Amino acid sequence: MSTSSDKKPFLGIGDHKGGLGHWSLQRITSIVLIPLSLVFLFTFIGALGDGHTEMLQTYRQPWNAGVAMLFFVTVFYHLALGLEVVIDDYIPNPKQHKIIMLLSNLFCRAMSVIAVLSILAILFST
Amino acid sequence: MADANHDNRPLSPHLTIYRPQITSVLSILNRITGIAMAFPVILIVFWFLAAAIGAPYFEFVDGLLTSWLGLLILVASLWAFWFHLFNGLRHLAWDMILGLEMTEVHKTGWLVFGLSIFATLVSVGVAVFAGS
Repeated sequence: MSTSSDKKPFLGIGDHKGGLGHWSLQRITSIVLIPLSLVFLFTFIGALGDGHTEMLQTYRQPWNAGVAMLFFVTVFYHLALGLEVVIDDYIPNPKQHKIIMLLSNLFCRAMSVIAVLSILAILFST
Repeated sequence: MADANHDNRPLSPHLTIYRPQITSVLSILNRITGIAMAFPVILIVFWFLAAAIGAPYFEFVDGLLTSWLGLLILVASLWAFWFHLFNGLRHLAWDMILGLEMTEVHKTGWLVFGLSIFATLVSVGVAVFAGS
């Protein structure tokens, strides 16, 4: 059964100027995060509290490093999308809304970059 | 705002007069757990950053995360994780027009809550067992 109506007349209008893309990406990232977060979490729990050498050994393996990088990029994107909805709901003032949204997105991207660079440094450390 | 009286309008009572229900409580919990988990995830980013910089930095952050306060935060986050995961699956089911009858919404709500507690206990058990 098709659940979609003709969306063309509504694209790009309304308060959000593009809620359909946001809605889809929120779901796509959530589905990707189901296996990704589980694998990441159990690898992390295994390496937590075992010392620096053990930690490096774990994340010098390309699979573990790759999962961790993908996890952080996806999770911070998912977070940015979630924060966007919360900001839409609770910050009615357009000026404040714009600033807080900008800070939120900047913060999520910065954390994403810090995470990926750190993991790359570990992966290629000797 | 187009409405000049925007700040002076009376507000009808809302959140404070309604009896909390499984539907409304889980709805706001999904948001709270999602936002709250940003904190432990950022801590874990610093765990990676410290590991990349050097052993003394890593030992400090790792020590923080495995202190009693750190572990308390991580266990609480673990519950938030399982809750957000199971309730997220519930949302994805709704998106596919599954389980939208009120009786089903209540049933899956309690199921999600129960599963989140159960999964937290099991995963903490696994972590303790793997750590020893």
